[in-house]
Amino acid sequence: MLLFHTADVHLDSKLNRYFDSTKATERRHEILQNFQKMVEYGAEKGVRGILIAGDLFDVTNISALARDAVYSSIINNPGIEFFYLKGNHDDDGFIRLILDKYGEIPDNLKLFSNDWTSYELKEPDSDISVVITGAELNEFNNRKLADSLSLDRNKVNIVMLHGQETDTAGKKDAEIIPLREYHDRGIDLLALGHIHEPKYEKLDARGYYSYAGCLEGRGFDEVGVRGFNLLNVDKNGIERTFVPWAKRTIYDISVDVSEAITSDDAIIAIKNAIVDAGIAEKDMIKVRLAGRVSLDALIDPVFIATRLNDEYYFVKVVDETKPLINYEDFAVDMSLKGEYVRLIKGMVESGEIDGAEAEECIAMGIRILMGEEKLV
Amino acid sequence: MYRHGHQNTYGGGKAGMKITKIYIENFGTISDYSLELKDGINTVLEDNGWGKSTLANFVRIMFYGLEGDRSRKNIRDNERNLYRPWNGGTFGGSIEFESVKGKYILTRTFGTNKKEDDTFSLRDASTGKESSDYSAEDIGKVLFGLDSDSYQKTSFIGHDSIKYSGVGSEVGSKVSSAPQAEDIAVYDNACELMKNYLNSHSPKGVKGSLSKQKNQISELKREIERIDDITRRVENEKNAMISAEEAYESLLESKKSYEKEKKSLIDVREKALKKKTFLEKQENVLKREKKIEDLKKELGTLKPDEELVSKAEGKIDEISALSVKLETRKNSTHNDRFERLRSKYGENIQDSDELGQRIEDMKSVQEMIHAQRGLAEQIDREKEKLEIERIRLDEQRRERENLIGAKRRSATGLLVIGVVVTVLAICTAVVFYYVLHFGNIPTIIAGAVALAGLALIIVGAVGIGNLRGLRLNDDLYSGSGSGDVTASLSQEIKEYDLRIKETEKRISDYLDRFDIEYYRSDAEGILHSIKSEIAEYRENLKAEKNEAEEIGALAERGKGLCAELKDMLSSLGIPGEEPVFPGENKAIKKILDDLKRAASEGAFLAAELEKDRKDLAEFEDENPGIAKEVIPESKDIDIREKEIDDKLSETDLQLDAQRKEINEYSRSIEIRNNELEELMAKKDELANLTEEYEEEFHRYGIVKKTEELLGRAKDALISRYMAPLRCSFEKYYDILKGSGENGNASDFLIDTNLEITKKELGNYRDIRTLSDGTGDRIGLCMRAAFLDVMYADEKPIVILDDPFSNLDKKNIEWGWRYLDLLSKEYQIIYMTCHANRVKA
Repeated sequence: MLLFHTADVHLDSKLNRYFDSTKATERRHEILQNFQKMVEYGAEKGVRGILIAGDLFDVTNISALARDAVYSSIINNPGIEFFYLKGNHDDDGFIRLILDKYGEIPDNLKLFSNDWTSYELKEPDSDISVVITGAELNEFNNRKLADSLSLDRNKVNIVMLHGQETDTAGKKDAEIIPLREYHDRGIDLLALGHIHEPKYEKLDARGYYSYAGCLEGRGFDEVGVRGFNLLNVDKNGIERTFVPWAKRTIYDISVDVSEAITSDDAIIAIKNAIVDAGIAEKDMIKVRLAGRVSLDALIDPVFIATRLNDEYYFVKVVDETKPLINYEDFAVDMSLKGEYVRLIKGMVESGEIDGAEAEECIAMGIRILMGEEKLV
Repeated sequence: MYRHGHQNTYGGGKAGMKITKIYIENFGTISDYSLELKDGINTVLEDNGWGKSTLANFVRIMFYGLEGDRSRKNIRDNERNLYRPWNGGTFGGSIEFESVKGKYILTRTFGTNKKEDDTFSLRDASTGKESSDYSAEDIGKVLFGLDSDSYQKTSFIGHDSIKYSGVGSEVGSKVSSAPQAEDIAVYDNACELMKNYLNSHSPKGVKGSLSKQKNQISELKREIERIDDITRRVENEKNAMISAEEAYESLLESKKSYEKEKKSLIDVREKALKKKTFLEKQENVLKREKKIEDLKKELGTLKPDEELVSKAEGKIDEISALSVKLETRKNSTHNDRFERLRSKYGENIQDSDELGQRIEDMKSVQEMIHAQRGLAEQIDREKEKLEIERIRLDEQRRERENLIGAKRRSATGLLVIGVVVTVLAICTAVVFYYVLHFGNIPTIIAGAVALAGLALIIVGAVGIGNLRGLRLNDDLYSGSGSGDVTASLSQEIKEYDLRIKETEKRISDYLDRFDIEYYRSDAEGILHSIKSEIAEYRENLKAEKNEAEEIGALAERGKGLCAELKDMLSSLGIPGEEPVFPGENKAIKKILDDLKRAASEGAFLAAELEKDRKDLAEFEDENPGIAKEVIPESKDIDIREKEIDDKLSETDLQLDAQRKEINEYSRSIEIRNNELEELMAKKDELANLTEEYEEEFHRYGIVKKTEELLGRAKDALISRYMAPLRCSFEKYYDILKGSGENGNASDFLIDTNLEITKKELGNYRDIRTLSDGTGDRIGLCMRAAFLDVMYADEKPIVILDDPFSNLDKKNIEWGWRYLDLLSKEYQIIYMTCHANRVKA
């Protein structure tokens, strides 16, 4: 029996942190379509169920487009059971919208509540079955939820939750999952949502816990491959495979531009680094400019970003370079520059200024004196 | 390092550093050139273009290396290219010098590439061994405590670098030979740039962009702080809405319950209705049964045999009809007319032949009167006819006389022509017959002509006949029989009168028998009336006889019917009633009618009872148990239904109110959620803005710190050099002061921007307004002062490139004094292209 485990799709996310409204809309559509494609892929593969472990939507006011798209995916695939557990971003909005427009909840949409709810999925013509149990966490039920979980140890058990894993069993706020409390409860897979990075770890002697991660990265705090879990349930248990599914991968790379004197030199270095990292033009890249750069070098991150955004879907350039300062060069420089550098050097040595600030001040001062810095 | 001993060096004795020999193997335009140098002034007299600047740069490059290897801006900045010989290859040379450390031979060659081609060699001049006292990278800096640029600016004095006209000008800067001077000008620009930036980006006040950003961030933070509150409100409203929805659901349940009960009441009502129907049906049966019973009681001994009753009624009807018939017969002949006729004509009716004769007499009278009238009319017509004839005969006589003459002529002519034509025709026919002997046509023609002739003969003959007729009429005219006719007719009229009177006498006599007076006009009608009355009377008499016979028969029949009726009445239990004839037997008829109605009603009731019983049985079958079912009173059902209706109305109102409340919560939640989403978007905006703010604020801090540090550096730079600079300047100026010049070196004020003003009459005067000679002297003194200040340890060799080329004879004297003075501190290469500018 095949199942998909996904979470944190965050449909209808505003996405205005990095994108203008046109690109944000385009990206929202991509995320929505990617979810639909995953369902279609599931139908092709003959999956019996799709576990959505929270935060299917990003907002409470769900757009009609997202509502209809998700509803269509559910209703058009009656052979797939959709186990939709609400996360901290979801509320009853989707269910209400469906009821308002279509009058009833599709039979293959399985919902959860604040208490444990179980559904058993059986493979036709086979004795393979899996029990999917889930509960929606809040600050009230979290204290007793784990204790009230009762599973048939003779069955394959998947437990769905949405929250932050923690080792400590102390504070039980909403969306906190103290893993220790779920030990030895007959869980084969704790299918989780909330953390956007995929994770698959041993839970106890019997089972594992896994965050599917988000289906598609949205910002530079979601770098790396994203997708969903493919779960193959047989009589021996659950075999989990991560399926990369994101249309665009988000990268965060650091590029040493020490040798660059101009922005074009830096662009060449960045492109080489992008090629080396195997990044495609469709991907989103955060480029951190690094290294010690000559004081007479002029590297403009905005100019570089503009240029790279012509070639890649989205590039953000952050200048983290430090100035290359050879104090010896200024040791006998009788000019103001020499006096300035020597003054700062003395201050660094006496501890009046820290090294990083000193370097920035030197770079700034020299560049201003050289007329290279216009301070706009 | 260079600070050390600085204060003691200016104006002090000459230090150990000096160059003893320069050898240029190949460098720019100069090759294989040696120059032995002594202390003090070393004059080089060469033509313009020989390469004096190259020689000066060679000295610097030997100590500092080539500049501008990385320069991409200007080829002149790249000294490797600038001084490479035109035929390529390596270039360089050697310098022998003495420093505090010892005597050395510095040899350097330069190729195309610094790393691969350049060589550096420093040997101890005493031992000839390689020395590591100085390296290629730092020999200049270590020896002079200055970098290459500063060295170049201070140790080389060009011919255009004497006059000092302020540090802002190029010349001024070079005269001052101070890199600091340039830096200070740059510093001012930098300061202004930084001030502008710090003002426009200030995080304080209202105008600075950082302040605006900070305010924006604070505003966003304040707005975002509302997220928790709004979220809490949304949660509260959600909970309230859930409660409202639960209450709504509960009300819906109540409504359903009431509706269910109401529906059950409808069922009860339906059952009650059915029960009522059942009871009505049952009541109907009972009523019918009672009616039948009552009817039976009412009838008593009477037997409601409907058929027999009908028969008895038939008999009564028959008796009645017979009675009527009898009565009719009795009355049919005994009428007034019959009696009147009887009295008029008596029992013995007269012979009807006499009446017939009188009727014929009356006809005869009528005919005779008619004939009499015809005769009278004939007499009148005869008389009229005679008159008319007389008039016509007179007229005819006149016309005949005229006509007779004309007709006689015509008839005679025709007769003659006819004879002639006939004869001719006969002759012609004979001729043709004999001559020709054949052919019919001539014969026919001849025949036709003959016939025409015959016709004319006849016409003629007729005409003659007519003439004869005319003559006969004359005879009539002459006749005289009219008077005779009239008389005859009058006689006939008289005869008729007699006969009429006789006839009328007979008729009158007949009528007298019946006391009827004779009138000619009525007599005929009266006679016919008598005739018909006698006929009627005879008929009546005959009928009267027949009727008597019929009445007897009818009476007999009536008696029989009464007997039959009597029997029937007995059978029907009506023994006391006696039928009568003739008579209507109304009493019996009424009894029979009653009995018949009773019979009919009894039959009807029996049938209806059967139907009702069947209906009741079917109803019971359709509603089993209905007979025993106990149904609440309709009144109670009405009361309960009213209660339920009230409850339903109340529940509907509550549901409306609850729905409104839910909708209000829903709307409010939607509004708050929209607000939350806007705030969440603002969170992103805040993150971006904060990031931008933090970057800019950091930059602002760096700029601010830079401004502060640059200021401190500038102050340090100035304070380091200004006091020694002033002392040195005053030393040189006082020595070199011209005899005609007023004031002392102390009258000059050098500010931190190295601008020099002179105090005159209490005011400071810009030196640019002073004479050229004074300006040149000030410039050279400033250069010397800078050399003193800048070179604390090793003094550089000062290279002067024809600095006095612009001085006139009078002023060149102090130039030589300046050289003498400078040469006490510095080894000098004085280059000139004119022998007259060679110091004696």
